[in-house]
Amino acid sequence: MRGADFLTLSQWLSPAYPVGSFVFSQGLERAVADGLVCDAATLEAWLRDSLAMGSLRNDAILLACAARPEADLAALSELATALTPAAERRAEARALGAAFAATTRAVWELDLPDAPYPVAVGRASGLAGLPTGPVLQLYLQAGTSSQVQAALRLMPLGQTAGARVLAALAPDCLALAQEAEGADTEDLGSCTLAADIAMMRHETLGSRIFRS
Amino acid sequence: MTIPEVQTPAPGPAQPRAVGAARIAVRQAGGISRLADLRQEGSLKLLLPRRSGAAVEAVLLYTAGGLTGGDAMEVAALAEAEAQLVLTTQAAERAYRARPGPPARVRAHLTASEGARLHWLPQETLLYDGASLDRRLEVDLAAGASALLCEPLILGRTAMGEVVRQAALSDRWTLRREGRLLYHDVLRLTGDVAATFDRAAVGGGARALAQVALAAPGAGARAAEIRAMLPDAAGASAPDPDLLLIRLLAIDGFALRAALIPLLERLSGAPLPKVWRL
Repeated sequence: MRGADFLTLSQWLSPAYPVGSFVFSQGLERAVADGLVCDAATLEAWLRDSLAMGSLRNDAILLACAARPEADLAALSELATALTPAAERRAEARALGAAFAATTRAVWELDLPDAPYPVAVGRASGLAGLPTGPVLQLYLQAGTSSQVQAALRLMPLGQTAGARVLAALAPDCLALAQEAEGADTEDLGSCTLAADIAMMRHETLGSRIFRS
Repeated sequence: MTIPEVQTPAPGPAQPRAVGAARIAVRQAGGISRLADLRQEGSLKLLLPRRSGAAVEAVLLYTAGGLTGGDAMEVAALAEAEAQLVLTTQAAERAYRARPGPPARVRAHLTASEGARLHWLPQETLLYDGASLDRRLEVDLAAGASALLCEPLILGRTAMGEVVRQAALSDRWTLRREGRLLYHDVLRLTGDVAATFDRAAVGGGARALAQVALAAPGAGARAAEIRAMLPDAAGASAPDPDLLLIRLLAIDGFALRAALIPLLERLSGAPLPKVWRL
């Protein structure tokens, strides 16, 4: 990858890029409240499953599809929205995608429409000529990292333990990136029902700090 | 509106397997729905018990006695304008161990015209160790039409000591309203299903699950009412004002039924088909 591309990608997927992912937990807040996630080991297992068979896997496939030149962006956006089983997660994908697209349009002058977040990132990387493999790798690590950051605020977990969880998930991010790069929409699918239920039940959590 | 064409699927090459197709259409006149078309071929039959309300109730029966690799079943159902159709199955459907080769395929295409109401309420699918099942449910709704959909799934009958150590399931739902994609979901299970469902993000030890969708004008407004009925290992959300989704996990099929029967009766506003009570 060229140095300039590497820095563009790093900027897009940095927590400092103004998309606002820090206000979302993708149901993790409810999972902590219900005792499903309570320490470093259970957090690592929860995130590993999201990568291997949950919403991050579907996101990775959608991103890879959107990055291809022949992609039908309207159809992929509709599909990404329809795949989301909970209202807050739909709102999250829409909000992050719109914010990402607005900033990326303004700064890089790309012809990038608003789209659910993974579709917007995939399309932007395709337009900018970034190689999809590294985009997927970094997207998955950023998505996982955002949840680790949420966990630090939700339960007694130290910074070092959080960093250890993220490092332990690196092979999972790499394996999924490789799988997703060659996948298409026929390969979408998940089985993390308890995580879906946590996303649904987050809507009725009494006192909360995250919007999903 | 025309009924989707049913093409009898070709059986797998390796062994002569069960193939079946059924299509049904119902039409409304004077507030009562009646049969407009009924065709059945091969290992799939449609039984029409005596009606108990304004809807036509149709019961699917797989005469081959369980699904296995290479089987191919296809159902097409149409509720014409303002008509009401309730579809269910005669008994729990068994997905047996499949030999290497193609999975068992089940396809259902449901169409509800303007103002029609269509309920897809099959009884449980029992997944056996070694099962390989590829199932697709496509639902097309016209303006003002409604659909109540439920697929209960048992991952090995715990009371019989069954453990699903290896299976492949792809269970896909595609729901459209006036051609626009409203909901798409693929439940994808591979490998050691029992170990996977022991994981916290998947099932937390559950061996039974159900996915329920109510697509109807204003369905989302019922979220609070429905949540109040749900056990802890279940959730409901309305990602669209006209769509209410519910997911349930349960320790076994018995516990699942205990939660599911009152839920489906509340959502449909009517008792479940009698075959559910046998």
